[in-house]
Order: sequence, then C-alpha cells, then structure tokens
Amino acid sequence: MKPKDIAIQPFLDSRHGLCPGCGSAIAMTHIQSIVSQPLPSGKIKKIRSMVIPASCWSIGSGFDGVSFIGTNLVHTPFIAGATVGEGISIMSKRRGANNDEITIVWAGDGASFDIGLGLLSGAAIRNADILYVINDNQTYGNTGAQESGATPKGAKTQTSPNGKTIAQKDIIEIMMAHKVRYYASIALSVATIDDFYAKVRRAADDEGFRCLHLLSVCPPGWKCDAAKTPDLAELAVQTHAFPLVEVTGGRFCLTKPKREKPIEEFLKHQKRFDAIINSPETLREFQEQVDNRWNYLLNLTRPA
Amino acid sequence: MTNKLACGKTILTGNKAAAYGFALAELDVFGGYPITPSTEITEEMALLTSREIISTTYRNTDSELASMALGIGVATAGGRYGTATSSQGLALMFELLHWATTAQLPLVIVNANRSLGAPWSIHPDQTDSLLFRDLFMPQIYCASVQEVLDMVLWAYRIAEDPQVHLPVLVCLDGFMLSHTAETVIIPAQESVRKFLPEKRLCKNSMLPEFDNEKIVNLQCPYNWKEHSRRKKALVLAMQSAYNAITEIAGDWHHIFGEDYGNGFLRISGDINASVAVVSMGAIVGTIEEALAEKPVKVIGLRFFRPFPAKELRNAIGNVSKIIVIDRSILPNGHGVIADELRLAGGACGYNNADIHSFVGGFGGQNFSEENFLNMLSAVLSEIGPFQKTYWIGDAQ
Repeated sequence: MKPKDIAIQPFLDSRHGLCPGCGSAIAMTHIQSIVSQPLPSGKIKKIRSMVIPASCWSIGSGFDGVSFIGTNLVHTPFIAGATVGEGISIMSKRRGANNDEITIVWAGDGASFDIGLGLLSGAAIRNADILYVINDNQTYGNTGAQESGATPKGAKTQTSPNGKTIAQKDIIEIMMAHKVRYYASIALSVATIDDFYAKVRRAADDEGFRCLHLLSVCPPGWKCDAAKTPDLAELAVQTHAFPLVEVTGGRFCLTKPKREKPIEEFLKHQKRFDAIINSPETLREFQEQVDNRWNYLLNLTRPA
Repeated sequence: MTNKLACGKTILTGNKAAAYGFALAELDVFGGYPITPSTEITEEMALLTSREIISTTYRNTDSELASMALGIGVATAGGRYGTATSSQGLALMFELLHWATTAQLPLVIVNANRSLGAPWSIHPDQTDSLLFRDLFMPQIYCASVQEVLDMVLWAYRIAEDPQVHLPVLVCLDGFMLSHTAETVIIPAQESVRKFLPEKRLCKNSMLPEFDNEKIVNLQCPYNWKEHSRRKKALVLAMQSAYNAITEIAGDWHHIFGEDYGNGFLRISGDINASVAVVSMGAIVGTIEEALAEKPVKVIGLRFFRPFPAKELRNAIGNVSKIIVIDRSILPNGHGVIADELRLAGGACGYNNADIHSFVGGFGGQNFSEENFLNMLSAVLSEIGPFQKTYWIGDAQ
C-alpha cells in the first residue's frame, strides 16, 4: 500500500488550537489516518485513546469535553504519559481486545527526553503495549520555546539566548539501550513520505513497545516561515540534521537520503541558528558535529 | 487458576493482611515499588500473582510516580487498581495523587506510615499521610492487623461508590502494624464478592467501552463554570463518602459478623467518664490497655477524611477534658488531630471541653503504657484552660 492509497481522513477538525504551519498537526492527521486503515498484516485497529501529557496538544486538541481530533483523548500530567498509556493498554489486554485496540501516547520532546524520561524508560523496558510518538519540535513549545534535552547544541531558545551550550540528548541510543521492539525516526515531507508511511504502518501493526520519533517543524519555536514546514522537514533529513533510522529487534537501519545537502541549507531558514550561520567557524563546527553523528550511526549499520 | 487463596483463621503481619485485602478485592492490576516499611505488601502481591493464586496483572514499576501513573491509566480504562507505599513514596506521588483525586478515579493506595524526611528516618509517625489531608481522598487509619485487611476492602467499596469515585488511602503504622503479626480471619472470596461487587464504569472519568462510538476528551481544559462544577462535585463526593461509611459498616457486620459500630470510630472505656482520649492508628490499642482501669473513654479515629466531626461530638459527649495524642506536628505547633478538633469544635475546645494536646513518636520514640498514665495524671492535676502542646518525653 502506497501513501496515495491511504485516504487522509478529517481527524483533526478546524477548531484545533495548533499554530499555522505546525508540523505536529499535519503529522497527527496522517498518523491517525494510517493507523485506521488495514495494516500490513491485514489487521484493522481502533485507536482506544490518544494519551496526551502536557504539551501544545493539551490545549490544542479539544475543549469542554469535546475532542477535536476524532478519537478519545486522555490528558495527563507532564511526567506521566507513557505509564498512563501502559495502564490503558493493560486493560485492553485483560478484556481480550488488545489485537484490535491501539493506545497511542503523543508526547513532546520535553515530556520524553526530560521530565518523563524515567517513566518512558520503565514503559519501554516493560515492553508496554503502546505506540509512543515523540512529537519532537526540539523545544518546550507550549511554554513559548525554551531549551529542552532535544534542542540542538547552538540553537537559541528563550532560556538559551546565546545558543544552547550543552549537547542534544541521543534518544536513538537511549531507546536502543532499552532493546525496544520497534523504534523509528520519521519526518513528513514530499521526499520522505514513503518512509514515513511504511514506518507508521509497521509500528501500528506490531504489538509491544513501539516508539516513533517524529520531527515536528515548529515555526514559532524555530523562528521560520510557517509555509516552509514540509521543506524544513525534508531539509532536516537531507542535511543529516535528523537522520531517518529504524531499529527492529536490535537491527539498526539508517536511510541515506536520495539528495544530500550541507547543514547550512537546513539552518539558514531558521532564526534560532542565526549566530551559527553568521560565523563560518561555528558553522564548520556544527557541520563537523553533524558529520560525526552521521558516521557514528553509519557504523552502527555495519556488522561488528 | 491452579492455587487457591488461603482463607479462615491464621496469623499475618499488617503488610501481609494488606496484600490479602488486595487479593480478595480481585484487582485488575497492582503496581509495585519497594519502600520500607510497606515493601512486604508488594512482595506478597508479586508472589500471589506469579504463583497464579490471583489473576491480577502485576507490574514492577520504576518509581511511586510510575505506580500512580499506571493506576491512572488502569482506572481510566475502567480497571480496579491498587498499590502500596510509604512516606517519601507517597510524597513523590503527590502530583499524580492530586490528579487522580480531581479526575475522580477510584483506586486504593495502602500507606505504611513512616516519617517523611528530613532527617532520614524509617520510623513510623503520621506526618506522611496527614500531609495529604487537603486532598479529596478518604483516609482510613487501622488499629489492628484485622482492620488492615478489612479496611482495604472497605476502601474499594468507598472508592467505587457511584456517588464517590475517589482514590482512597488506607494507613497502617509502619512496623507497629506493618511488621506485627496478629491473629486474623481471612474472609472467603464468595462473601467478599457480596460485600464488594464487580467494578462498574464511571461515566465521568473513564474511557467508554470499546464498542461505544461516543468520543470523549478526558481531563481537557474546561470553561470556568464547568471547572467550578467539578470542584463542587469533589466536595459532594467527599460528603457521599461520609454518608456511605455507616452503611458499609452495617453491610460488613451483616456479612462477616464483625461489628465496627458506625464505622468511623473505635470507642472503648468508661462511657460516663469526664475525660476522653483521642488518637489514631496502632497506638490506640496500647492506650486502651494502659488506661483500661482508669475513668476515661478512649476514642480511636478510623477515618480522618472525611473527618467524623458529628460522630466525635457524640462520642466525646460532655467530658471536661480531652487528651489528644498526635504523631504529627504542624507549623502552628499543634498536632494534626488536635488542630482538626479545635477547628471543628471552636476556639474554646470541643464541646467546650479543654483540649490537652500531646505530640511525639518521632524518630523511633516508642510510647509505653507508663507514658499514657503520666499524661493522664498530668492532665487531671492541671487546672483551668489549657491550650498548650506537650511534647511526650519532655520533662513535665
């Protein structure tokens, strides 16, 4: 099944409170549509609930008991998403419905890399039967773009006005260290749509702990043009800023983009990287950092 | 199931009795995380589930926060959940405890009371659970091992009452009860089912059944009117819990024969006495024994939340002096029970009697029968209003 065969259903209705150009909002609709279609095994799953720890989606996905995203919503405190999702999925299993129900936890990078990392680790190592989406916009978006563990080194945020001075946490290796059943990074753009659809379908079809690491372009946080969202997702992949990986049963796979570009092409559209773009020295260092990371991941794909 | 849960007369520690209470409540899920002195509850649940003596799903969680998060998930999906903790663990749960109460999710937490640091201590006092007295969460304090088992079952009845739907906290004093073995009667599962029926779904807080096409958005932001309505509903839920307790005590008496009176209080001694001693938890039994020959009535609070003001007033009657023994301390210098009594009874004391407040029991300080006799003679020889708080063990 190709992306063109999947009808995008109107899950997200026009009352939602997400920003213009929100990458996460587009991905939400796509992911819900993909999950609701027959999966590779032929199974059709119903979304039991979308579990939302504190994030833009806490206020953007509904109001007064009404869901604007076409599925049940369960809001939780910032720290608790993964384990609340696990509790819901255990009950699906106890009622014999785990084969046709799917619990999705839709958590931000702050909730996953930082405050909720402990609980995420627990759910991952227990192989909780949830589809955990890290909605990664590389910043605390809902509070107005502050530094998170997912913010790239050098990027300016409201709490790192001179640019982040410490490293970005490596969520790929954190997840791999948990021997998770399925982990994949995904970005939604024209160049990466086949990869996006294939991974979401595999993740939804499987059982146990599955993690999709979604790059969500965030125009207010990244200080970029809201019309550039799909382009920036594509550029993030093409410049190796956001490598597309897939880990199944410990097997690591890195997708080499068809067209590769220097990091500048990704950075130059975002004001948060101004200082880097304006300094050839810093830009060279940033490129080196990206190259080192790419080579490191490339090495993981080779047999030891 | 290959094995059967033991039943009948046996000897159990308070912790094991709590685990048997959970077992008889036929939980869907138990979330375990060890902390002294409640660890044995968790170990026993792990054992009972791994031997398939009960069909509960057991999970070792990664913190007390995770065990509360798991409970929120299970209760949201309509399951029956339990967990056990103490002290720092209960404190770590706080954010999610508040969430579970205000989301009106029925679940039960057993807390083996232990001092909340600093300084570091594993000894029992009641500063941990009483810190949460402002939550919309009934709190039960046990005075015997049998009560521990029984109160876990009461807790589910209250939590799942359609008019209530709140988390319930069952407290047993660390070591004094958690590690003390007493004779206990484990009720038969069939009788427990009569007392505690299968869990019903709560339409306010839970996901609809899978085949229900109604889409819900749980705990999302609301307009201020609806938000206020939910706050008022919490007050009503606590009131409903209050109203349910005497009926639950009656049902228990009818099914199991054990008489817990009106449910709220444990009353003994001379009902015509002019002095009443009020306390809570395992030391109530020691006080009863120490003062058995004295002209006092001893009142143990089984429920601290909802606070049984009316029942206390009736039980205290027309005494002239009330001795309150607290194992907690507030910034205003009062013990929590004494403070609550003063609040409920007005500035001049409960029923116009003088409140003589004693606090202590911190960091491993044990109370002997002699302590209680000394307190009584100090109070009896004191003349006039007396609002001071005495620290047990200080030179008097």
